[in-house]
Amino acid sequence: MTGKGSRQHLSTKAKENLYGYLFIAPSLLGFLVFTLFGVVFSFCMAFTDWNLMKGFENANFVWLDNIKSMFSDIYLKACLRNNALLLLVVPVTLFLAAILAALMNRAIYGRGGARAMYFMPYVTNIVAVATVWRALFHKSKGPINAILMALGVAEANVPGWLSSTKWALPAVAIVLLWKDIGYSILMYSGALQGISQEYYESAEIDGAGPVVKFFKITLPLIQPTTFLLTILGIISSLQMWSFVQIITMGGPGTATYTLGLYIYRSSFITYRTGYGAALSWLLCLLVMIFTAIRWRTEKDYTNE
Amino acid sequence: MIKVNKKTAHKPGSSLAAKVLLTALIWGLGIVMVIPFVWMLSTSFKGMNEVFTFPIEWIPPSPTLKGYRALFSGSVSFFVYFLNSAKVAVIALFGTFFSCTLAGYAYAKINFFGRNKIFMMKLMTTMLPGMVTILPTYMIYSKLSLLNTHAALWIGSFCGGTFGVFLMRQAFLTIPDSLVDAAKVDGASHLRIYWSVALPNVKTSVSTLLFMYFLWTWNDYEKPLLYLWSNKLYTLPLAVKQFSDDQMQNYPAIMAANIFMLLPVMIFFISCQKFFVESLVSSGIKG
Repeated sequence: MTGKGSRQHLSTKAKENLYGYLFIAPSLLGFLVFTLFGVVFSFCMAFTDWNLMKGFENANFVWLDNIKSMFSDIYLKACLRNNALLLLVVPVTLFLAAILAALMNRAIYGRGGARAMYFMPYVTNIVAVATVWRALFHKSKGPINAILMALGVAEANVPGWLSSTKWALPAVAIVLLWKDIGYSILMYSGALQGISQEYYESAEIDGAGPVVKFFKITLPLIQPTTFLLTILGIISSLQMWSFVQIITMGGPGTATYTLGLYIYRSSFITYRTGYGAALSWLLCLLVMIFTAIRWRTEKDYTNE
Repeated sequence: MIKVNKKTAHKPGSSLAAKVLLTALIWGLGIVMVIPFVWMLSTSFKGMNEVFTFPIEWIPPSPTLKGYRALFSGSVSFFVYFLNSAKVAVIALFGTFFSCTLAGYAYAKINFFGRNKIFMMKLMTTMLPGMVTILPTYMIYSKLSLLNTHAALWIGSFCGGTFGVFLMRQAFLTIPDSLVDAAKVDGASHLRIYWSVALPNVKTSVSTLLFMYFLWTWNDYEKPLLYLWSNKLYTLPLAVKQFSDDQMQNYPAIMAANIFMLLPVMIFFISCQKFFVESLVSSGIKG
């Protein structure tokens, strides 16, 4: 009772402030310590020759040396090439997901069960994904090549998949597509539920077929979802590292090395930690550039 | 009127055929999506030389539990890894629940100074790649002596993930202000309103929150890889990775390990799939 009485002396405004900051205290603390301090710390370390094993007290400022060495770094070049190719998976995934979601949105039997099947890879752990696909992609014995050979592909011509420099990246791309498409299908399904049936009915009167309806009505109306999923897809594609660390270790050679994996290895395995910090800022820059490009094109689109 | 005519113009026969055809197509592709899981399950019960027979034998000709026995014959049993995973998941869910619902409530229903600016700042951090803060986080954990302890895996959950805070804020926004104000007039504090008025109204979103974070914690491979080095502390994903490196070509054992790791998630997912898939679909835009 006394506590309640004393609290009533506080003005409403002070009470709102007190409770507000009390409620967000854990999340604010996390933001200040891990994000804000982290960003400043990592930015400073990007200009040093810090070696994780020697502790950051022994790090020296080398200023722009880390950035200079990026230009002659052949590993970095391989990473950027692979990341660029993996980015192409994003629009392909979204396009296929939009088609599948549109088909599922029509009258079918057991829609819930079908959705769950497409979503299952998304809830699966990446270690399980990597180990099972490594077996499926096995060059000489794997079921995928066995099927290709049964279909008439000569044994000498079957792809080496994860063990060949030419096919490893496409194989990784296929697995990523398989893993992530379910999430996009779900998001699109949600967006499609909000579309009024009348658009389609009036288009039918004008004699529009299913393909025309998909491109002229469905795709434009789910554009906000596409925009959001593209941004999220770009961010997660550019950052991806642990999946390739498990499935190929970035190999063979540098065939599936990604920028994220290179940052992890520089920071924690080869102990060029300062260089790793600098690379992480390059990654941040790339994320910002690609998101900005996507944002610009979106604006143009809505202005039309 | 025209619309009605158009609808009745459809012959019931042709639309039924279209429905069956479409169902077959969607389910056919769906089966392709789950085939790797079927292969995983079937291989886990096979002998080592039956793994790659072709045509694929989906039902093992002579089922064996050898693969599963290998999980418990190593120096650290998979039960230990399972318990580690369960412990970390329970603590992380506890932290996530309180940090995300409290912050979400504050951003939606409490009018405090600088609220929208702080919230925007929090949202903007989604753009920041995790790789940028991975090193400073490692240093902080090292200074706090949290490296090689389970606390390094769950402590972040007490700081309110952006996705969770955003999800809960959106949920609390749907509660009418009049309900909160009425409780205030009755003399209830925000803590009281949060607990007995607001939370019971957003049960669906809380379930989604807990499901998504359970999934992420249970499946997390990166944090254990970065922060743990004692074998007996490993959670399942890192343990299975190490096991698969050790076992090399012993595919039945590797697939058995996968099944052991996926089983809780799959049971959970399949038994509640209708609820979760529907709630994710209806939420529409989620990060």
